[in-house]
Amino acid sequence: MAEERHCSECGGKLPADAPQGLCPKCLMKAGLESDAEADKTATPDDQSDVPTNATPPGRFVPPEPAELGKQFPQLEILELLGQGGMGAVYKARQKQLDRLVALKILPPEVGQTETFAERFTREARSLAKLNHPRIVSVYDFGYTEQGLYFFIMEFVDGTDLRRVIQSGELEPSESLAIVPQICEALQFAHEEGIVHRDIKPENILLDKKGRVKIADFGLAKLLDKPPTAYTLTAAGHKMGTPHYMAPEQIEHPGQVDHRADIYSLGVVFYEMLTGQLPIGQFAPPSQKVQVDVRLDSVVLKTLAHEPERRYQHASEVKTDVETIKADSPPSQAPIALVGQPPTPASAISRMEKHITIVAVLSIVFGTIGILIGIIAFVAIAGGGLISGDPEAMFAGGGLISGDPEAMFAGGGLISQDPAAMNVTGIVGTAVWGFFMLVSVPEVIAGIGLLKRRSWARILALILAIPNLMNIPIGTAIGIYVIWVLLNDETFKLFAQASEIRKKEQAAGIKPGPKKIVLPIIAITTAILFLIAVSVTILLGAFPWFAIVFGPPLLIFVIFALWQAKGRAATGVAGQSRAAPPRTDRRAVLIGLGVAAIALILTAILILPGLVPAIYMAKSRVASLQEETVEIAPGIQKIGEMDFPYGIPEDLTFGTEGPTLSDECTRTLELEPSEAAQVHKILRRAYRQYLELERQNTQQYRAVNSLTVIISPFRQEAESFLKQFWADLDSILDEQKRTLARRHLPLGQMFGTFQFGGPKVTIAISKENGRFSYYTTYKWPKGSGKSGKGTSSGGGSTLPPKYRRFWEQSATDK
Amino acid sequence: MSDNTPKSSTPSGAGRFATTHWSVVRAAGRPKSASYQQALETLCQTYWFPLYAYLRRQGYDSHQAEDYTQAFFAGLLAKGGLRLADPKRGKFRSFLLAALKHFLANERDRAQAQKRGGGRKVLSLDFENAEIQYALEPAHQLSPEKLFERSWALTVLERTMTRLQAESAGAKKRKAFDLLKVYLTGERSSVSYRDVAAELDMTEGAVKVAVHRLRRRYRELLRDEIAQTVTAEDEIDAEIRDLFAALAP
Repeated sequence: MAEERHCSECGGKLPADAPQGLCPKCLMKAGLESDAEADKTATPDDQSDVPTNATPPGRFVPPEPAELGKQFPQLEILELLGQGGMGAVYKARQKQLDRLVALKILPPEVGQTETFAERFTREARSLAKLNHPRIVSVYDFGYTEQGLYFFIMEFVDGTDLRRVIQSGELEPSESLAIVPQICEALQFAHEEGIVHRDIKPENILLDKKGRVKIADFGLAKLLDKPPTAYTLTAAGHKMGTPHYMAPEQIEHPGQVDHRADIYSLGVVFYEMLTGQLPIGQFAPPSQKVQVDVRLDSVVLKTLAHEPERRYQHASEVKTDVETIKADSPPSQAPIALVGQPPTPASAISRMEKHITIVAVLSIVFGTIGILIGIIAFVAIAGGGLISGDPEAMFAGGGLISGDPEAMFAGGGLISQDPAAMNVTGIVGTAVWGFFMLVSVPEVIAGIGLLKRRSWARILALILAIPNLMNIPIGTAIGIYVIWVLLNDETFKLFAQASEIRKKEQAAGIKPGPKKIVLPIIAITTAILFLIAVSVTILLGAFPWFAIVFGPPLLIFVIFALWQAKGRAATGVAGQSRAAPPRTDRRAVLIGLGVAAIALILTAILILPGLVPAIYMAKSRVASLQEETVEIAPGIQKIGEMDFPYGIPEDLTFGTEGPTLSDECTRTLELEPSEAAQVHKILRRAYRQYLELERQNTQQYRAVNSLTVIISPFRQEAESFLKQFWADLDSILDEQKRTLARRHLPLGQMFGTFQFGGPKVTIAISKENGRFSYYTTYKWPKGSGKSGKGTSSGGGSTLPPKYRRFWEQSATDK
Repeated sequence: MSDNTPKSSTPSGAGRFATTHWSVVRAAGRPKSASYQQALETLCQTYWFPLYAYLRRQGYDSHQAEDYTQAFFAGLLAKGGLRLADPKRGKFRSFLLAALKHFLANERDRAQAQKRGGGRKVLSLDFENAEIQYALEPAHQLSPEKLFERSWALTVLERTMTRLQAESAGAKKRKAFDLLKVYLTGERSSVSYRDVAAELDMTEGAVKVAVHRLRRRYRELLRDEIAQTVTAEDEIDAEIRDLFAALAP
């Protein structure tokens, strides 16, 4: 065993493993950036040849008392009390008056600017007027011949709050005695128009009788620095950080007023009660230590982010604290936990997370539900309404729901066309209404959960039940939600939150600014809805959909407005940011993640059903656009929408458009004689083609249905085509041949069912006077087209290309 | 007044900080990158002893502690090792201890340790010396965590002093360093400046300047050493205070 040695500096025992035989504690301490001791030997002259990169700006070395004494003949400087970026403080004695004073010298570099002297005098004078028993008085100020700015101040024999907090012996009851005194001092200074700007435990001095004296009023402003960043002592753990600064001091340093001090006071208060700083997601004091739960609202209100939501005067803090102090037994347990075994804080905070996750899930799914509802509504009603085209309504609905029944509902309800209206269609629309009915409350419940409202818990529980039926993902989420919401800890949390709200209400906490998001959503939705209703009416239809969508929307709007008004009335929600519902960002992210995974899984599960629906919708859209497709050499098929039916003279583009023959004459610039010949060829080719198709077609007819199967006949079709071009070319000159190949819309004639390429199966059925038809194209291998395709549709009349089979076979029969 | 001249060259805070080992590890995200591996290895090579001491104090014998230390680093340096704990948070010291605790919880079984990392040398760690060093650790009732922190603090100081010493090359400088280093801890040295000045054949003023420079350099090195294990410049002071507290008996 090595012999016991002691450090000559701190007197501590030197451990056997001391690095290089030096005291590790002192070595470590020497590493501190602004530790005064380490620099003591450095005279100002030394510093010039010290490597400058090691010198952080803003540091200065306080002179030795003896050295300083030369500049202050009237004082006997006794010792250096402390030092920081704001200067150094010495204990001194005024020789004439024989009283102890504190001499504060400012860092020499502050006197650099020309305007400083003037500013110093002005500020110091106003500080000297600050005469209050809780404020350290300024006796004198000025600057020495060496240009050192100084204050001579009241000497407080005692300690500062930092040391008291660090001793760990501060009882809540003592904190409640200290805070009102700070408030008195702040109130007084604020009335004088002076803001401290740097309230922190180091600046709150306590004399030996426990009386509070606040030091360094207005110094932060005078020195024009961010206040906290410079102070440091070896023992002060939490210093050197801007944690005591009000948010606006960091964000808008120009707009700081006395309410910044109230925020800093809140930080000090919180630290006194809990020993910790209120950083990030912090729990209200009563959850950390045994204090009156009503103190939570006081502390949280002083810590409100926006100055206007804080206490507006320090005196109000004082009143509230004293009220609580007066009528409460010391160290009262949080109300919700009285009479129950204490719940481990970790379990509670875990549950907090779960509740947040549930709330996020609820909001996300609710919002998605509302969006689907709105989109479906706009698509069903809007699409059809605007175009006035039943086909368009049909397309919109189909795109979104993929449900043919639901698509008709909109069309039928809006157009009031009995043929388009059917029972299942109305049910389909009602399903969307139900979506809205569930989704809106879901969002409301989610928001309520974030605010820890008890009714939201019940509402969310009720809404979770239908969720269970969505096997498997909805079931899993539903079980999780029910588990969270029925949990014992959850119950306690909600009870606690409501208790705090009641106290806040009783304390008459003033309202904050209204939350406007919800009302904006509500009003926007309502406006959209009203537009849709009026457009429907203008178009001469009765807005049936309003019956389905109106009530849930109305409920939502009323709720949103009531919510906004409720804030104003009770002010409870105004505290929502700082009050108990502390939203854990991580939990929110987890919630969003879970929601995303659930959505992806759902998408995967419904994909088999979704693909045909999307395909159907797409093929419909494709047919609506006039899309030109080359289906065989020299044959371009132009859409299906306006497909003409009949011999070339009768083939028209649209109801009023030119006939195919006319079009041919125009595009090829045919002479009348040529035109007659060309028309003849067209007519003959058309008949030949139909004959070709007929030879390859089989029809199966029942009373109300017809199945047509066209077998591929591509080879015959192509030789037919060759013949057709040969016929045409024999009467056309070179230029017109090119024009014909480029412009002749032969697809209109021959392309109806892909020019004999695929095997085509057409199923037509008629029910209650309404047709529906499904067409399947199956391409043979090697045709270069991909396997299978379907298209379907329906309506009160058949499109011409189907009508041909329907009527023909009817007569055949 | 010469000291009134603002020191124009601020320490190149952000620039320097971006390249410390721990920030490299944290920023890497992809454990594959070479710089990540190297940085993590350097850190582990430096700070393994506190882990060893922690394990010993937990009651493992020297062989077990040895095995666990190696197995732990094997896991840490292997792919995805950082998942043992969340490196996104805080400093390397907290991370390492959290990761070790996590590791221990998963690895109570000694056979498991053998299988995973026992006998396999990931880092060349001088366990023989470690045992001697551990024997030097004060035997009074330090908790394993406290011991971990304490030996961490000592490791930091040891490294710093070694680096500082290494900078004093040459017999004369070496002698000066040996004489002046006592002033690193403060003023109240039993040796007076005058004696040292006589010994070194310098003026007293020159000694003061030299002491001042030595301190400055020491502080730079210490802060650099600590910077390697924290995430932001402003955490250095806090870490120093933590380590200072850890050294308190």
